[in-house]
Parts: sequence; structure tokens; C-alpha cells
Amino acid sequence: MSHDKRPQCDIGQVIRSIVDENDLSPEHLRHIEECPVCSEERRILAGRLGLLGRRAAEYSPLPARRIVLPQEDHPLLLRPGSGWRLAFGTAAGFAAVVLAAAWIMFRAGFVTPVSHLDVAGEMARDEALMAEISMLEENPLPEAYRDISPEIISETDEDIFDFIVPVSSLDRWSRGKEA
Amino acid sequence: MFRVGRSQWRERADAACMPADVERMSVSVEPVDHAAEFRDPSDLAALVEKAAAGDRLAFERLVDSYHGRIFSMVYYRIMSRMDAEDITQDVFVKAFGGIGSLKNPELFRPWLYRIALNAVNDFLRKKRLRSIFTVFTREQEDAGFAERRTGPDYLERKEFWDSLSKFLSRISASEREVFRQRFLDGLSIREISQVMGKNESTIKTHLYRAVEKFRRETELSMLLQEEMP
Repeated sequence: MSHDKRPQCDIGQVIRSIVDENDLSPEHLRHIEECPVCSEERRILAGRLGLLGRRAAEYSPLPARRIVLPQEDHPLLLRPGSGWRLAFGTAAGFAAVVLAAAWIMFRAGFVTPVSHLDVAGEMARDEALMAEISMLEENPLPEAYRDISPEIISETDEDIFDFIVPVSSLDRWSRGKEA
Repeated sequence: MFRVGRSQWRERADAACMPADVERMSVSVEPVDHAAEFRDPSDLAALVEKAAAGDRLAFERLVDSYHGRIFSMVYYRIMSRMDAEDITQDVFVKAFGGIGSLKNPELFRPWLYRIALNAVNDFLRKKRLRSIFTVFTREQEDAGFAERRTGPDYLERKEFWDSLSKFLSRISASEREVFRQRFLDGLSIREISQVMGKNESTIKTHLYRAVEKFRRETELSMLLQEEMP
């Protein structure tokens, strides 16, 4: 039994020859070139694709506006080899600005050296504040209100009773009751 | 016209296969070469090198050579002349700012097309976003370009673009972009792979599928068939 090893007609190979001729084996390429059906199919398909590109170019408008480039030259950032220099310069500049700002603040008194005395004073102020907080926890009412707090009212205080329930209304109430 | 199924095609082809005395064919699928000025790639590379070193005149020569190509490339994707003019302007301004960073001058073409493709994608993304808030019609887009609708070959052009856009809408996004870059923009497989950042095998696979679908495309084929010799 003999097998025919010659390439057979295959539209896939024809398309492949249009996409990239180099992908085909020399045998397939020769077949496509020599076979009238394959070569005709290739001619038609390739012709249509070529015509498509030419028609697209023909049927699209031409640009009417001129390209206007910026007046200045290329930005320094994008010059070849300038990248690391620019990065280094930026970092150095930023560091200088931070140092200068710190120096100015120090000189202006925003930042002063801290002594043991300052630390002791700060601790004393903290203790006083804590004591005040503890006192408020025990008796949260301000001093002015302590006189009228319930504990005081619970004691007998005629003046307050008179203020809350005046004597005249007590008289009227007792008179009405009697009546 | 020769449009049959794969198996039928094979049957017919097998029957008609002839020996080697058939004339060798010469078929070109290359579209229009817009930058014929740079037949020698070293000319382009030298000009790009000069432009990258800050030579403004060299960059202006590059602009003159590629203005039409980039404009067309943008127009094929957005189909609006006014927007294509704006985007092309932006592309060259970006390229002017960035050419100093282009290390290999031989990659200028794919680099420029990549800038253009990114600009187109940005534009389409914004347009999609805008369309959520506004009612957009094709007539509004074309307003101001009345000459396009009154020219003698307007119907011919309209039919061509409608058929092409119908075909492109039926294939996948990757196939569409590869097909456009190969047959409309005239980029090589290598350049397409550089523009899209994919390997050449992937590009060939997308292109193969797109061409296979193009072959079966009736409307567009008929249109082009009429013009074929």
C-alpha cells in the first residue's frame, strides 16, 4: 500500500500562507503556488484583503489640521540619561528643604530643648489635673449647684419650702379642705 | 466567485490539482504604504535618533511622514473626522514629549502606533461613559461634515464603511484589532505584536481566525469582488 505524501488542498494552508508565508513548509508553499485552485483562492482572498486596505485609505478623509508641537524642547525628564540625575536632584532638594524648615522652626522657638525642670513641672501639672479629675468624679456638680442638690434639699430648709410651696397657697388649700 | 465550504472546497481543489507547469503567482496583501519615504529602515532610525536627541526639525519630519497614517489609523477606529484630528494632535504631542525615552529607534513605528491605540481606547472609554448621560446620535457626530454626505461617491463610501463595520462587529475584539492593524494600517506581524504586547504566535492565530471569517463574509466580499480584476 502506498501513501501519497504530497500536500493536499486545504483552505487553512491558503489562509496561513496569507497570514505568514514563512509558517508554511516549502512543500505546502509549492503546492499552493502550483495548484490552480489553491493559487486562485489565494489570489482572490489576498486581492480582496489588499483592496480592503486601499479602499479604506481612499474612502477616509485626509487630515485638515496641521500638527502643532509645543514651543519648548523636550521636557528634561524625558531626555535620555537624565532620569537618575533628575531623581537624585529631586531627592537632594527635598532633603534640603526639610532640613531648612527644621532649622528655621528651631531658631524661631517652635522647637526648644527639653530640660529636667520642664519635665518635673509637666509632671506636677499632670498630677494637679488628675486630682481635679478625681474630685469631679466624686462630685460632678459645680460648686454653685451644690446648695440646691437633693442631699441639701432633703434637710429641713424652711426658706426653700416656702419658695416651692408658698404659705398663701397652703392656706387656700387648707381652707378649701375645711370647707 | 469562489465561496464554498471547507470540505466542498477540498473536493473541488483535489479534483483540479495540476502539476508544476502552472505559472507561479504573485499576490500582494500589502495595503498602501504611506511612509514610502522610509524604504530604508536606517533612514528612519537615524531620524528618530536625532529627534530623540532633541532635534526638533527631525521630529517635525517624522510628523510629516506619519501624520496621515496616524490620522487614518485613528479614523478607522472612531469614524469621526473631528475627533480623529484632535486625537492625532494629542498623539504627536505625547510622542514629542516621550521620544527621548525611546531607547531603540527601530521600534519607533510600533511605539507611535501604541500611543495612538491607547489614545483611541481612552477616547472610546470616555465616549462610552458620556453616552450614559447624554443621548448621542450619529447625525450629531457627523454634523459639520456635510461634504461627506453630498459628494458623488458618498453612497459608495457609506456602503463600504457600513459593510466593514458590520464585519468587524461580528469578530472578537482581539481579532478585530489585529485585522485592522494588518490590513488597514499595514503593520507587519512583528510590529503588531509590539503594539499589542503579545507574542507573534498569538497575533497570527487571531489574524488567521479573522481572515477565515473575512473569507466567509458575504456582503463585504461582494462589494470588493465587484472591483476585483
